[in-house]
Parts: sequence; C-alpha cells; structure tokens
Amino acid sequence: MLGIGELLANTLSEDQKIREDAQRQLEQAETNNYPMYAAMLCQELANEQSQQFIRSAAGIALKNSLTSSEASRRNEMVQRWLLVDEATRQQIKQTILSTLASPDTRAATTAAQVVSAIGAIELPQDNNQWPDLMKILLENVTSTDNSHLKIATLTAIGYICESIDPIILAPQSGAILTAVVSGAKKEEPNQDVRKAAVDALYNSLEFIRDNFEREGERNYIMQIVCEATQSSDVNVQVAAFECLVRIMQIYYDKMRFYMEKALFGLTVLGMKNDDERVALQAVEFWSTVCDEEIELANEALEASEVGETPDRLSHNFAKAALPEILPVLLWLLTKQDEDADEDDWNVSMAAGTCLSLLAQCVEDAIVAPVIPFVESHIRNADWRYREAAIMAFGSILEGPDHRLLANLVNQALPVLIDMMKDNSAQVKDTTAWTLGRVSDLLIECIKPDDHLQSLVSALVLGLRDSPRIVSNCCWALMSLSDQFGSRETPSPTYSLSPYFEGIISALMETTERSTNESNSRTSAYECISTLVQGAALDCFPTIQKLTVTILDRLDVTIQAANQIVGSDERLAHSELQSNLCNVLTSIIRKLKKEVIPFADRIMTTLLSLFTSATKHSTTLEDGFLAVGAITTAVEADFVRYLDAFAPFLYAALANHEEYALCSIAVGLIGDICRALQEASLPYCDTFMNMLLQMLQSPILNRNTKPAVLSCFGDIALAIGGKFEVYLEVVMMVLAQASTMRTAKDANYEMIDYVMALREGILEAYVGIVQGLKSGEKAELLLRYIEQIFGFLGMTWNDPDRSEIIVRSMIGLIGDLAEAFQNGQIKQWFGVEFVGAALKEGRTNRSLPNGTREVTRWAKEMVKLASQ
Amino acid sequence: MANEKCEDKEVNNGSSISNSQKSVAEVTLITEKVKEPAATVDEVTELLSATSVSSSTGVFRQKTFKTSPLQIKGKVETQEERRKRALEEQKKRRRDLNTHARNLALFKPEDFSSEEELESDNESINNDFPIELTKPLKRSLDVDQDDNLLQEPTVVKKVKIKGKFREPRRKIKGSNPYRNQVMHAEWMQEIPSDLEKNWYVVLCPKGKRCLVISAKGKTVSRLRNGNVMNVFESVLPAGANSYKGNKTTDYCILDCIYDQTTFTYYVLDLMCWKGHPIYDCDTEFRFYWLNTKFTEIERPAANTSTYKFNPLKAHYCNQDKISFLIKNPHSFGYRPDGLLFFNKHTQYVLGDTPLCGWVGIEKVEEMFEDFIKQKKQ
Repeated sequence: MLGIGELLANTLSEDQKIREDAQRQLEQAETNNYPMYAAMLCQELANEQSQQFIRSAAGIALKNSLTSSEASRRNEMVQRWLLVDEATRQQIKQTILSTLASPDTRAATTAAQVVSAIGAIELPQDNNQWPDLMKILLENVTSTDNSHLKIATLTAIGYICESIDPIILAPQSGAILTAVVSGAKKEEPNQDVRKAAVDALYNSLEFIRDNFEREGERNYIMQIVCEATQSSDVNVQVAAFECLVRIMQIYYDKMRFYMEKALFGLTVLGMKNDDERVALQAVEFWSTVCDEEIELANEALEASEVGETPDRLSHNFAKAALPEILPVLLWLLTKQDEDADEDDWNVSMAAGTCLSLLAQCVEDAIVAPVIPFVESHIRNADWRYREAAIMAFGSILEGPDHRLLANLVNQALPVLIDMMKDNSAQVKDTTAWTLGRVSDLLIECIKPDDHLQSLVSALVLGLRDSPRIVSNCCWALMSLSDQFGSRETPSPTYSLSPYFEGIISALMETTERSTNESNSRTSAYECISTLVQGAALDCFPTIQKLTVTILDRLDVTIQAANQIVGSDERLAHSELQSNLCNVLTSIIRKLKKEVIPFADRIMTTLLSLFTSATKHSTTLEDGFLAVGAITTAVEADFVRYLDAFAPFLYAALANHEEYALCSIAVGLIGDICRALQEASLPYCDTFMNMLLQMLQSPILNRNTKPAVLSCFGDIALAIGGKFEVYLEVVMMVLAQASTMRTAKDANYEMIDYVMALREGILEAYVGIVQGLKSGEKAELLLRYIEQIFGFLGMTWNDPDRSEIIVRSMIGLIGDLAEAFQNGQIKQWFGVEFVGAALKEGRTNRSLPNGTREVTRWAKEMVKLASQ
Repeated sequence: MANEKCEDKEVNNGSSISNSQKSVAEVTLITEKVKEPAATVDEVTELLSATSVSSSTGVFRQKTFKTSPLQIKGKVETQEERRKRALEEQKKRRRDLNTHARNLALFKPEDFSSEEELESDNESINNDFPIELTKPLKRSLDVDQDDNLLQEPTVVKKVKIKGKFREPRRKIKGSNPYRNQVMHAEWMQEIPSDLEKNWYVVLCPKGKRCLVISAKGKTVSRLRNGNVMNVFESVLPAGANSYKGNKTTDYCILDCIYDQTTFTYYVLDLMCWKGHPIYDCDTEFRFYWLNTKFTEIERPAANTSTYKFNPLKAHYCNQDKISFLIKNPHSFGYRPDGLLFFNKHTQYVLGDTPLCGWVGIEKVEEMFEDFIKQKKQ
C-alpha cells in the first residue's frame, strides 16, 4: 500500500482511475482501522516536510471523519471517535494543538478546524474529555508573540464558539470574549491577527449573547467593531462590516443607540468606499436592516389582526435613513460590470437588490425620490444610466400603493416596450425583467386597448433573445394570460385572441433551441401550457394545430429514447418529455369534448411513451396525468384504451418505491371509474387487490394511503351494488384506519397525516353508501352502522378536525339518512354530535363552499329518516 | 505573506457560499454531502485556488436578483405543482359526483342569513297559488318606477297570504332572498363615447321584468322585489316534471321580460344554465351562451307550451343598426318599450349598474338624432 501522503496526493490526480483508486483505499483504511487512519492523517497534517496541499487534504479528511451535516452520521462519528483508545486520542490532540503554531498558515488553519471538530465532540461529554482545551487556547492568544499561532488559535476559538452550546463553555465565556476582543482592538499592531480576531468575533456573536445583553460589554464590543471598520487594512474593514451585518441580524432590537451614534454614518461612507468588497458589505448592511424591518412590519400586521401588540417594534431605520442612502444606492446602480454575463455579484447588483428591499420596507416614500432619477436617465446616451434607470423603476414596483404607481406605469410602459429593442444587451435584460414584474405585480395597469398590442409584440420579440430574456418574457406572457383569460368555461373571445397564434408559434420556435439555459425552454413550455389554459373559444383552432405538433415532438423524443448516453442527457430528455406531456394535459383539459377526434392519436403516443420510459422516470407521472385528463374528456369511451393501458397502470401501482407515481396511479383508478362507471367492473378485482396490497406495503410512503381509501369510494360509486363482494374487507380496512389517532404531543406532520386519513375514510364511506344505495343494497350497511357512527363521533370530538372533514361528515350523515328513510337507524340520528354537526354546518361561515347547501339537504334527510 | 493572502481568500470564499456562516468548516460540510469522507478534489482545489474569489456576504441574494420566478423554479417544484393540481381536480370531480348523487336544491341566491328565510323560501315555492294576470300591466322597464314595482305584488300577495296571519309574512317580505336579483339599468343620460366599440343594444318589449328559475320540475317567475309571479311547467331544462335530464342539477336562472298579451317570456339575459352559473362572465359570453343554448331546448309539449320563451337579440351599436331599430321598432313581433344598452365587459350585476343603460322608446329618436347624423357625414 502507498503511504498516506501519496494516497492523498492521488485523490487530487487528474486521472480518474488513480483518483478513485486512492479514494477507495482511504475509505478502506478508515473502515478497517479508524484509530490508525486518524493518527496517520494527523501526522501528515503535522508534517512540516510535506507539501502544503497534502497537509490540507489530510486535515480536511480528518475533520470530515469527525463531523457530518447528517445527524445520524454525525452520531456514528462521535461514537467512533470516543471509542478510540485514550492514548491515541491524547496523541492526536496534542499533535493538532502544536500544528496551530505551524508557519504553514494553511496547515495551521486546517488544524484549527480539526481542533474545533474534536472539541465539539469531547467538550459536551458528561465528564469533559478535553478539560484543558480552552485554557491552552486562551494562553496561546494572551501569552505568545507568535502571530501565526495567535491567528490559528483565534480561528479555532471562533469555530468552537460557533459549533457548541454556549452553556457548556459558560464559565469561560468572559475570558473567551476578552481574548477575542483584545485581538481585535486597534492597539493590536498586526492587522492579520486583528482580522482573525474580528472573524472569531463574528463566529462568536451567538455565543456571547449574555455578554451582549449587558450594556457595558455591548458598548465595548460595538466600539471595537466600529473602530475596526476604520482599520488601514481593507481586509479588517471588510471583516468588521461583515460583523456589523450579523450584529444587525441578531441584535436589531438593541441597535437604536448605535445607529444614531455611529452605524448610520459609517455605513453610508462604507457604501462609497473605493474598495468594492467594503462597499458590498455596507450595502448588505442596509439590505439586512430592510429584511428585519419588513419582517417586523409583517409581525405587527399579524399581531394587529388578532388584536394583540407585537413583541418587537420596528425602529424604522430604513425610513429615517432614506434621504441619505437612496442617492448612494442610485449612484451605485450605474457601476455595472462591462460584461453582460452577470456571473459575479457586484455592487450595482447589490444596490438593485437593496433598493427593491427598501421599496418593500418604506413603501410609498420610495416613489417620489426615485422617479426623477428614472426620468432623467432613461434616455441617456450611456447604457449604464439607461440600465440603472430601468433597474430603479423595476425595483420599486413592489411595496408602494398601486394607485401611486398606476400612472407612472402607464407613462413608462410605451418607453419600456420600446427599450426591448435597445442595442445594449444589459438594458434589454433589465427591461424584460421589469416588464415581467409589471405584468406580475401591476397587471391592472395594462389596458388591452392601449398597451396590449405593442407589449405582446415586444415580448414575442424577446422570445428570440437571450435565455434570461426569454424566461422573463414568458413570465410576463403568463401573467397576461392569467389576467385576460379564463381557466373555467372559455369565453367566445378575449383580449389575447388576436395574438394567440403568433405567441404560440414564437414560443414553439423558442422551445426548438437545444439549450435550456436559465430554464428558458421549460419556461417557454410552461408559458404555452398557461396560455392554453386561459384561451378563449376562438383560439381552439390554434390549440388543435398545437396538439398535433406537440404529439409529433413527443413521438420524436420517444424514438430518441434508446440513443441516450449519460445521466445528464437522460435528465434533459426526461425533462423535455415532462414539458411536452404537461402541455398535452393542459390542451386536453381545455378542449374537453373537442379533444375527442385526437384521442386515439394521443393515447397511441402516450402508450409508446410508457413503453419507452424507464421505471423511475418522472415522465411516467406526467404521462399518467395526461391519461387522467383523457378519461374525463372521453368518459365511457376510455374503455377502448383500457386493456392496452392497464399493464402500465398495474406496474405503477406495484412500484411502491416510487410513491409519487403510485399516488398518481391511484388517482387514475378513480378517474377511470368515474369515466367508465359500471363498465369498470371487469378491472375492479385487480384494482382492489393492488390497492389492498398498497395499504399493507411497508415500503410505500404513508402519504399515499389516504388516497387509496378515497379510491375505494370511487370504485363503490362506479359499480354500485356490485361492490357487495368487496364490502367486508373494505369495511375492515376502514375500521383499522380509524384507529389511527394523534398523540397529545404529535407534530404537525403527524396531525396532517391523520386528518388526511380521516378525509380518505369519509370519502370511502360516502362512495360506499351512495353506491350501495343506488344499487338498492343499502341494507348491507346495517351491520356497519355502529362502526361508521363510532368513527364519526370520534372524528367530531377531535379538536383538530378540519373544515373539509366537517363538510364531508355532514354529507355522510345525509347520505346515511337518505339510504334509510324508513327509520331503520333512526336512533343513531339522535346522537348528540349529529345535531351539533348540522348546526355547525348552518352557522359556521368559514366552512368551505357548498357546506350550507349540503347541511340544508342533510337536515331534511335526517328529519325524514328520524320519523 | 503570500500564504496569508491565500488565507483571507479562503475565508471569503467560504462566506460566499453561505451567508450566515463564515467558517470554512461549514463550507466543507456542504460539499461533503456529495462525497464523504475523504477530502474531495473540489474542496482542496477550492482551498488552494487563489483566483475566482468573490468577496462577500449578500451573494446569496444573487439567486433572486433580476430573475423571473420561472428561472429559479426547479423541476421538482413544477412537478409537485402539477401533481397538486391534478389531485385538486380529482377531488373536485369526486365531490361533484357525490353532490350530484344527493338531491341538493342548489338554486338559491347566496345571501341567506337564517334558517327562517330558508323555510319561508321553500314555502313560497311550494305553494300553489293562483296568479292574477288579467289586470292590465302598466309596468315598463323604467328604473324609477320602483314604487310601481312594489305595488304589483300586493295583488299577488293578497291571494297568497289568504288564511294566514299578516304579521309574520310582512317580516319575510323585507328579507325576501329573491329580491333585487336582476341587473337593473340606469337611465342613459348621454351616449357613451365608446358606444360603438363596447356596447350591445337590445330592443325590449313591453312587459314585466322578472327573474325566472326552472328547477325540480317546475318553473317559477318572480318580480324584481322577489315575490312570485307565476309557477308553471316550461321547456327550460329542469323546468317541467317531464324533463328527461336531472331535474335537480340542471336548474336555470334567467332574466326575462314577460309579455302577458302573448304569454311570452322574452329572455334578456342568462345567469345560470343547467346548473352552471355564469353571473361572473361578461356580457359578450352570456349573450353568446343564451343564443347557443336556446337552440338546444326541447320542443314544447302539452304541459310546457302555455308559456313561450324567446331570447331577445342583442345588436352591435353601430349607427346603421341603431337607426334601423329606431325606424322599425315593430319589426320584431312585439310591442317595443325601449332600448337597453349593455356594456360588453360587465358581469351580471345584481341591482343597479351604470354598465347597463335604458332609453325609453319615446326618447330614443331625440337622443340618437345627432349620433345618427354625425355618423352619416
């Protein structure tokens, strides 16, 4: 076997085989003999003769063997470390501590990480396993002149404070804070030490909460941080501003005094700093202030809605600072990067973000001071000013009152539309985003007669532009469709009718690009779906043409399915098929009966899609949704396809690992039953068997189970009296499901699950009662009346019952009463909760739609059944 | 010193990935999700690289900077949305079917406020009372003849409340849920500037404005104050016992003008057809629907032939059409009462609305004189 150093070097090899081989050997070493593995890594990290990158790799591997973000894995690692013999552990810890003093700062910092990882395990143990750790570290800081050691130690302290429960180190917290702060003081001559200390302070900010509560200590800490912003070293300045951001986040409530005294001025100056890193932090400071104040405004609103006073109050820093910070932010907007690829976060992007947060925060107050900037620069010859003007305008659209914005938007729209043809790519990009926001946030400002034609033309033009612009144009078009179209009964025509065909063909053209960069292709397909959903009757010819094209494209993807190599390509392929299926589903739902002429073709394509799809792909899910839509459109005629489709449905129902697919398949049984009614009978034996298997499956995600119960109701309703053969087993299953209750301390997820289960049980009972009644077999239910009323009573008395459950309960009571009009079960209607439920249904206005009508009817039925 | 420079960048690089945590330890925690437990190539190269370092907290904001929601929406999210939507639709269809199986009388206005009203409402539907129809009816479609309107039903009511105490009935009258359920026009004082573009015109016959509801095998017509004018069997869906479809769910609600001289209900507007409410659709659609659906109506039989239903024709407001209507008001086979103008984009509004304008036949010529002349030039 190679030495550990070589192995580590090999893990960074260019050659994939060497790399994987080395990794495997390391993993083996870790599993076979962990203490030796850890000791070897530790020695390599400490080895001053070794190369820097190997030492770092060793340190990181050691740290990774001690901590994990996954809780269960972390526990395993903790146990493994604690089982390492005392001597080895001591040796490793000593070696690591001495490595903090290494002149190789990278190795020293990596050692700091390892120290904190071991500390995080050993310090919290019942008998502190590393009692002298903090003492040693604090001594390192206070009594050494070795700046390397100081820096690494401060870093280690910061990491420890960040990762450990403050209670564990409470006795030392004063000393820790003193050590850290002393390194950050302006008297510290070495700026690298100072920077390390400020970073450590940043990491300790939660840890020192108690100290921060005490005014004297807080003043001192704030003074140190503020002074550090004035350091001659820009790195210290940046670190200090980062600290201020974090302090604002954690201790907003305590900031009033410091804002007035210092922070206000410091940060405004900071935003103007020549060094972009400082400016970015200063802008971020104000973004953070806005975040906090928006949140506080929400809390205040929520509190006032329930008639309480909020726990915390906003100091309205942003509003007070507006006259100072707004001009700076607007000026920063013009500092864009030359390059259109906005990969790097820069100060003009930060300023734009801050401006939009500011608008949400101060609302109306932002409008008047921003508008002159927009007006004076939107026609500027320099693209930077044009872009900044539009950015400013787009940023303030959310927050201020719509009445205040409406006029401005009206004036701006023609200009913006025009600027979609600007010769600067950045200007177009920002314009497209702004049009997207206008359509999303202020759609009522878009007047069909005044703007629509030019707006649509501009957006269609944008569909040929860069991927980001495509995505924004799609966003705008979708908002227009939602505003002017109707998803329910289609109107004969609507405002988008004249443009519908043009938009669709432009979108179809966009989707032919080979790239999905910025999600542009998926956006375009989503946009097509949305347009179809909102379309009017006079768009149907276009939709019919679209149907054929979409099916053609699906066919092409199906043929291409077996030529795919590589997982990326497979993912892209499956996403494309999902997009196409999604459009198809929207078309079917929209055309309803008018899709019938296409039904054969659609089903043929879908069936070959299912044949070619892999067992795990989401394509199946989307294809099934399209089949569901078809059942609703063709109704009883679906029987033509069922024999061919059933094998795929059964496979999905048996595929318990893929619970999402399973759920959709269960829903599809319901769709089929509703469509075929009694004609579904020949398939019901298989359906029932597979559904019962799902309920027993230990693998299937439990959230699918309520849908299975509802599905029993769908089957019963479809086959009526023929459900008799399944009655006994289903009633038993429902009785079992009814025993599921929430414990007192159950979490929300569990409560939600039990509620969903009860909704499922109710839907099952409703279907069964209605089905058997229509088949004149209601008397079969008499054996189960006690079971049903027992369940109803329990559900009623559970304080967690949802409004949907109340409506379903009342419906079921009515169904039972209607089924037994001759008084056979009249004693049950005298039970207290029946009257209470009917009363609730009449009087509680928050119950869902239709409840009052159902209640009225149920009451009538109960009256007749009780005579 | 070169080393120390790298050191700074290393920490900065860390914070560029996660805003709130500044330590390298945390960054490696993120990367190690992908590969554990050895140091990964990425991790180390990231640590070693001295270039491509961006420098700040706040970078996490970049994801949402100037992007459409579409751009950042992952496949998983859209997939989840689609599943949810399909599930909602299934639930709705299941509920529709369950509701369908229950004999629910859904055809009531939304504003019931107490059980008492519900009962009174049932009672008035179920009472078979004779209607006084022989009296000459003076009522025309005018808005400001409300007092007239209120007088009318007293005739009816006298018959209706025979043998009952007056007191409780009066209380019910004030809160009749069918009261004010038709859209009522305002007098048109001047011609709207967008008349040609955005309005329809209907030539109305003389008669009684009424709300007609067909359901559960009978048809009930009610005056604007909500009182019952007549109960009969009609060709409307669910409007007769002989109706072959579902008498409970196929109910209809219409806005009509009843011409008692010809026993004809002229249908002005359609609010609900076979259980599908279209109150919230715009005029254009309601009129389209009215004309389409009436072609589907069954032929009248013996029991449904007493009262006829004729949809009124809505015209575009061009100058030719208006001048034709003014010159030939009698060419539609009924006694003309006036012109009713509907804004194309209004929904069906209960009560008064400025989006519906009335001009009496006697004023029509005077009012449109200029309009017609102007256009001719």
